[in-house]
Amino acid sequence: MSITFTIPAHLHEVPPIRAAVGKLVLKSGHSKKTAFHSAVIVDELLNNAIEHGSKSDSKVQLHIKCEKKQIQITCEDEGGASKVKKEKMIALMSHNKEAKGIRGRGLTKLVRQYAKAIHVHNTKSGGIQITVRVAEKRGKK
Amino acid sequence: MSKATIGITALTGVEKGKTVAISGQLDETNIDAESKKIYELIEKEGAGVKLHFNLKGLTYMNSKSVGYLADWHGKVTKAKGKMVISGAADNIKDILSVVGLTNLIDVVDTADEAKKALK
Repeated sequence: MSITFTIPAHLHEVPPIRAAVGKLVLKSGHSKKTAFHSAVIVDELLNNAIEHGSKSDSKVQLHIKCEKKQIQITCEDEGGASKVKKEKMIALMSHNKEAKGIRGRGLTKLVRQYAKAIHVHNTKSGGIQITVRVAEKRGKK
Repeated sequence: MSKATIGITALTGVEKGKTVAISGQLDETNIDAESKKIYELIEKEGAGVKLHFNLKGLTYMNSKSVGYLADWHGKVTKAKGKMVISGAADNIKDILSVVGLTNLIDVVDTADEAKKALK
């Protein structure tokens, strides 16, 4: 099961997407724990893309693919971050560096803890694409 | 915008004690606005304030919200007060643990345990 959301880069768009992803992951047969972790990752990635990777008229794309043993979450922004911010983000996510400040702790600690794998790269449009794989976690279904 | 309700009541039997009951969801859309209530409370209560955060009705909190909890703890501690969290659902406890907040703030199961910890 897979779905793609394309949303305006506004924070108020995030909560319903977060809720929808949680439900989608549950419906595809995964545990409540996996659904919650997926929702957290989606929340952190979207907030980051909107706040640091977008201009006010940008769009952010989120793709969710539910497979039997994992969930794949891909978040892509159109660019809007300064070059310094982009490089910092890629370094934080790719090289297992600890971020200072709570914002960074969410994106690095939380996403890294809940994810099996994280891939970050620049897009042709000047944005960042982050792909996260979440393994199925045992828990209540 | 996500909805959260913050209720502040006196914590009977604990000098300068307050219970902050948070329900709903705290995320990027509402945490900045909601946090003001707690900052105002800490400033108003002053030295020695004892805060019990009852998270029984909280179904989601993001990393920024956890950051605010850490900041409130810092301010309360600086004012020679104490802070404890109770009632957090397993998912919420997990977030607090991953971000490292459980190393900083006591997290207990029940309101009674929170009261004991603050006395």
